[in-house]
Amino acid sequence: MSDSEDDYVYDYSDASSDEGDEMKTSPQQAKSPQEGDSDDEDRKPAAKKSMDIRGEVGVKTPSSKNANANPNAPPAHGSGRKSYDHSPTGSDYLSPAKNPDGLKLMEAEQVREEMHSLVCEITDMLGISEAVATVLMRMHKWNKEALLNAYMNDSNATLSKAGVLSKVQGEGGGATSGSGTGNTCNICCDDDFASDEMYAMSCGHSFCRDCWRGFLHSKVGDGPSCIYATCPAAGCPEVITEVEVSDVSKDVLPKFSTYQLRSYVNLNKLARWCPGAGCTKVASSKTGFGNIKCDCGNEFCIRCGLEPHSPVTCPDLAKWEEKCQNESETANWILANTKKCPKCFTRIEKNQGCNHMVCQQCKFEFCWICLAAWNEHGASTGGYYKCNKFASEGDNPNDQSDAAKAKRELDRYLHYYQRFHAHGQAQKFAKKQLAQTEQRMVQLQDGNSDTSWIDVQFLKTATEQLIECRRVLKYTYTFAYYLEDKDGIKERFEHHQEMLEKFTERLSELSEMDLEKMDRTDVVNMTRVVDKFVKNILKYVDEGMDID
Amino acid sequence: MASTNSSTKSKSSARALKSPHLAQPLSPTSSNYRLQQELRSFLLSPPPDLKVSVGRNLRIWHVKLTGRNVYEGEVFTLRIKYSNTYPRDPPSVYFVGDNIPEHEHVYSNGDICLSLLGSGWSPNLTGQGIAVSIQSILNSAGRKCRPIDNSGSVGRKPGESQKDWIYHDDNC
Repeated sequence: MSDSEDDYVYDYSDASSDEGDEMKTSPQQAKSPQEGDSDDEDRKPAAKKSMDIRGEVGVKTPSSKNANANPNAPPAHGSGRKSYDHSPTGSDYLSPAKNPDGLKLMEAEQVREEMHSLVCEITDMLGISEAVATVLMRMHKWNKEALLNAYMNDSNATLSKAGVLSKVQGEGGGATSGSGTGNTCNICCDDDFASDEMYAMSCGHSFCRDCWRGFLHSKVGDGPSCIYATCPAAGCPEVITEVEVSDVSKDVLPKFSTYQLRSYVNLNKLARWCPGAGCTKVASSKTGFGNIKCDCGNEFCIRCGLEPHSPVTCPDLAKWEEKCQNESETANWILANTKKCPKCFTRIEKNQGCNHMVCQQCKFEFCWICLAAWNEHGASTGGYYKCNKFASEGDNPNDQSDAAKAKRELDRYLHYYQRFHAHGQAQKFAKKQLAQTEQRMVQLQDGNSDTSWIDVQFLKTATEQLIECRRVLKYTYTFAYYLEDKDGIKERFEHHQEMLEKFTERLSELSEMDLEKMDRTDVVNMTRVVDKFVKNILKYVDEGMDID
Repeated sequence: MASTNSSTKSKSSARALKSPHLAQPLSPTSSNYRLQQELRSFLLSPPPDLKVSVGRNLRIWHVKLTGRNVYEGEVFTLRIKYSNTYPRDPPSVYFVGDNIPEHEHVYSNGDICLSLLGSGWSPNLTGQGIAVSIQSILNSAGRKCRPIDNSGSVGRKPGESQKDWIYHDDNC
């Protein structure tokens, strides 16, 4: 264990600031067409494939220093990937190369440029307008290969399916030709329009500009689905694009383009809007995996948008969240209000009365506090309302009846849920603590005249470490719940978990201590130790838990 | 022959034009202009088995619909109400009266499950067009039955916006 510990001293916060730098120093990266290429190739993140692709990316984008630094990931890491191929498992904590997933943060404007450069490739290749190319790409989920395949196969079918057939083949829209006056609009029924008051898309259905404006306002007002709106004529499949919006109703164009950009990111499996409130940044990764810390302070998993959750995989976490949503209220109530009968293990609710319990199932008489037989109780143990004996619990694992199995499963879930929940609460608490830490740092500095601001930074580092530990610990319980036990991997995993838990509690204690009693060296050391334990447990999972 | 034809036509048009709503041609800037146009065309050349009548409010129509096939001999009444946002938004359309047709897309409260009244609405559709569509889904029905989820409609106010409706059957 100690050997590998030193290999992976890698500070997560470093990585995120690096990304920030990268973003500033090479903004052309966002636009580079090569990158568009590679994005397209691994758009479907079949993760085994993503291993190979990483090599390719390194070749294709020389600007990406990380992929370049290590084009061939070492075998250990690779095997970890294979056994956890659908997992974003702690790669950014553990990978030898600093940023193997090619994580980066982009401003909405950069994403717009990236989208535009993709569209431009298509316009050049197929000789169609940008608006049409945008619609086509959107229909093929921004997968250039899929679009080109479909287009080469049957261009007309592809165009008509996307609702742009007449835009490509028609004579073009705009102000309709025809007699100068006396045109009828089928929406307002007025029949005295000059031809320049009328407007039609290339499908030829012309309406007066006022009605067009009203129509577009109403569609954009309906929300993000407006980008799929079609011609106002009933049954006409012609799709409305930015061209029509800007021709007829410029005032809703910004909103329309924003919806278009939003759909671009939402359809893209390799990118995600930062889920932080009011944040407009986009995080992207070359593999579709990885955790990223946004400039707004929000940390999230690119694949599912939730808080980083290594070692649990995204699908397992989704299952767990659903389970907890369905059962957590019940679970809370069961834990808070019931105990198991010490003899038959039926869960019993005590809603009133003294500690002398009689189980309705087996008629066993016992004490509610210590769960021991009631006949051992009396005035010497504290009487009916008190008990000074110790609690003990047991279970019979050999009972194979359905009820017993169901109960064991419930108990198993409760076991993990209880701990998951406890660490979640502790994480919340530590976050609150972080808010107060700055104040404590000032106090600490004031208390000692020759202490500098840098000297008291350790307190913040410790609290941040504590939050991370709580988060990882929380998810280790989800992971363990879904972990199948074979060859004793569960035991080894639990050993790692136990160590991490033990030292996290220690760190928690140290960092919350009164400032006068606090020993800086202790805190700094404990922070380091705990950091190593976190990396160890994630590395252990990432490397396939010693199976290979 | 030809002369009788033209005489009936002129007679019906004369009767149609008696409608107080058509007495005065509205200016194209009036918000009721399109409705007046629609009503005139409906009264002048009504489709078979459909008859429109309008009370004092031009924006509420009642259409008498004479059934065919499985509904032979039955008469239904459709209420069509045009909101202020018509024709941007679809009119509110439902059956009223004692006789609600028993059809797999017509709820017993009068509501009609028709995509044209929700997501399928286009501003160049008309009230008459909607009435004809409803007539056609009735006349093409092979048997009488209520929608599967009819129980949910009991006690529901008919004619509410169908914006969030999901349409079971795209053929209607």
